[in-house]
Amino acid sequence: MRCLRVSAACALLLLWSRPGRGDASSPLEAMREAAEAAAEVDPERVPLPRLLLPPWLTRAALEQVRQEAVREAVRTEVEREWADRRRSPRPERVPPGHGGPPRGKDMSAQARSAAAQAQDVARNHDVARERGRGRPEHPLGPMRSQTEKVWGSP
Amino acid sequence: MGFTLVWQAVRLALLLPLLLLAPPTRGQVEGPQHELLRGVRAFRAERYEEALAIFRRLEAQGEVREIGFYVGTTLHKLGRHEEALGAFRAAARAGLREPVAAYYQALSCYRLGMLQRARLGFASLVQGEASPGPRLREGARRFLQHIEAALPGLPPGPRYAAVLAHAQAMLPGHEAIEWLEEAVLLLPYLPDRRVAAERVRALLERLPPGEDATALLRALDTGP
Repeated sequence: MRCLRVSAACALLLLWSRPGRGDASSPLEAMREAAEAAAEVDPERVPLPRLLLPPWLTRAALEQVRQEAVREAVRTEVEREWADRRRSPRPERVPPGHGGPPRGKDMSAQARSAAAQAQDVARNHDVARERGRGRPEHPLGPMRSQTEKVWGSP
Repeated sequence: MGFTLVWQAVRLALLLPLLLLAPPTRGQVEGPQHELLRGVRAFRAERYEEALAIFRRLEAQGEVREIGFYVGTTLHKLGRHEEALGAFRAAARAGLREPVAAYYQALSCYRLGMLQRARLGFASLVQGEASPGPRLREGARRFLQHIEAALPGLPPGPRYAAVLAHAQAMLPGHEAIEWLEEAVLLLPYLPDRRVAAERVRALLERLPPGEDATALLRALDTGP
């Protein structure tokens, strides 16, 4: 009989020492405690711009500013080029085949590139407007537009 | 002699059930509870990727009802706030009412810029609808103060437009509902509420099947 009692006590002891049973808390309680300890409670530690301007808004705003800056740079460059051309005397006309820049091709390389970029921006706007979806131009710009022309819009 | 043998047999018969009841030794059988504890231990040690892997496995098995709480909290710590909100939504759908989960949910909203939802979440914790510990209650109060101070400088119109654009970009993903909920909360502050509500309704109808938007649709119908 004594042996029986000892066996029963051992079994109960083992039963209570099984993993999870003997722990002071259930997994939910343990997680609650861990999460509570790890939680951020100080808004000062969260960067203020994130509150004042949420991240997605900041990204959109930055993209808009970037695009406007590109447009402005292109416009300034083209205007400066035209002002230079107005100030400087027109190059003397020489008969074809006698050297000198051909008519209509006397812009500098920089101005030509700026004008091409401006045309691309305008074209992107037109494409977006024609589709009627109001989609803003893609940050990749002309490259994306060319792809869409060939493969169509995704 | 015969009596002793019979007595031995009786003892054995009595001991057998006890032996069968004896628990598995550590490491033999590892049920979901043991795995959960392993995940919590990893979480506590700030090994969030490891904790997430464990919790995701359990989520796939579908044996733990409140697994969304574990997954959501870990995703929050990893900075994956949109996914965290989805996990908390799943936990609430499974019937979990947990103030710590509510705190983390409000915090994820705050981090994403869903200030209306964050304000509502923190306010309900401060006003005692749920009862977190004193540390989280104080945190909720401070975050609420911060939001109240910032909101006057953030006009609702552009916020509504940005939130709606974000929801549209998320469709047909499940995360869209998180942004649409913020849009619904912004509606009372808009001058052309009716038009704005119709735009939200059109997007709600495009949510993937299985996403329960009943509460939001009801809010659209009963709004001022």
